[in-house]
Amino acid sequence: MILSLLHDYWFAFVQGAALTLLCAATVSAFGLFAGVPLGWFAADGNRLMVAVVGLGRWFLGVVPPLIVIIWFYYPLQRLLGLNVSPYWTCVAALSLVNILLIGQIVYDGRKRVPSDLKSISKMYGISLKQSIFRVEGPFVLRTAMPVILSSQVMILHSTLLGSFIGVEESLKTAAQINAIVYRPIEIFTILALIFALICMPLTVAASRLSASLWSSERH
Amino acid sequence: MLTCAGLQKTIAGRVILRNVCLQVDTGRALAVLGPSGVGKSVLLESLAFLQRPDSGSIMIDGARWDFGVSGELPPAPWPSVAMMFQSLALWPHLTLYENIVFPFAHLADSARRNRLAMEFAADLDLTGSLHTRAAQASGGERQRAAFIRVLAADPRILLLDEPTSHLDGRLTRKVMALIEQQKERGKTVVLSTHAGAFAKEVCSEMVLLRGESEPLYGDRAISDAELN
Repeated sequence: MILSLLHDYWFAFVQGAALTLLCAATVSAFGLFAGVPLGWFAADGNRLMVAVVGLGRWFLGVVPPLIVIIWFYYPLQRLLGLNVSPYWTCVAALSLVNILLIGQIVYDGRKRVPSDLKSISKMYGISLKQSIFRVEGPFVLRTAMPVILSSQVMILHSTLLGSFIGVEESLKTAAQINAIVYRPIEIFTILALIFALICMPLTVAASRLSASLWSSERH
Repeated sequence: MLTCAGLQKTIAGRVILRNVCLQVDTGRALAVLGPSGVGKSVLLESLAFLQRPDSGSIMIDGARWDFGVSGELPPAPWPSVAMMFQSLALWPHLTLYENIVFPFAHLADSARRNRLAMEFAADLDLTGSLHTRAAQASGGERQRAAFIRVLAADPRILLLDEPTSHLDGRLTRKVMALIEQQKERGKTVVLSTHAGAFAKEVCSEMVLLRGESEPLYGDRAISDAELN
């Protein structure tokens, strides 16, 4: 039954999965591009960035991503007099969430760099560029990367919420197919398998990175 | 010559350094002793200009830094003063070799420092382990790498926080020999240690930190009862 559904609706499933992946990749790109500098400069003590990270921590704790998406789609666009497509609204909303999330991870990662290591850089006059690319950067990357990878899996899952505002991603596609053939068990099993296929590499990479970090540490 | 007078430091309401006064001549070594948590590392970090005392002054070869007074301080005399940390402060993702040479890679005389570092590595039997990542090296290998890094910096003043805690007797004697060599080259050495015998062997002067009480100053005659 699953195979016959796949045979008949493979293109729709692939389209939905492709849009899910595209949405997640775009959100991840924005998150890394803006979130990493946010967290980095906040850890340097930039007051504005520290305030943003602090507010972001509170915001992420109290506002679910779905509410952010809905708020971006309805009230915000009305307030600003805009008419943005559901896809780009979803990308914008989840990008905000991702920027704040990655900013927080990088900030915490930098704060965990032992003060002795920073003192060595000061004492020997290591330049800022060298410090970022050879010293602190790789250190923070080692500790933050497993957490960032896991968070991007969560972001990928969150793209499903786009279906609430009409984004034609995997969940909406599955629901549309179900409306035609009404085979919820098979259809949503296929959806689960699609997500497993997409998320497995990231989840495995995150656990392997985390395990190798622990096993390579002798102390 | 390194001199400090009236150094005071309070952390979280607790007096860590109380009126510490030291003078260490060029080519001499001083040991900072005391029980765990008494402030030995805080004193060394203050002398390394990595912690700012609440009051007092530090003088190095005529230059003076007064703390707790208004006005801007002169810049810290790095890398003429270099410190080896008790935590070793090695970057875990770099090899021991990279940890040693990377701090000097941007300097004009980096080739000379690299040569020095390799000589010290051979003296301390570390040559074979230089390409081990610091995170995977043993405590003894990491400690030797941290020690070589501070020697290769070629500072005028060496501050060594527990330089032999992970080393066996044979390697400790090699470290002692290298410290003697540094003294002969006119360096000033201040080290902290729990090992009274090591301190007496290497250092002509000692200061025993005693927490809330004023430090006790002495030479090799400082009693074992006070050291223990």
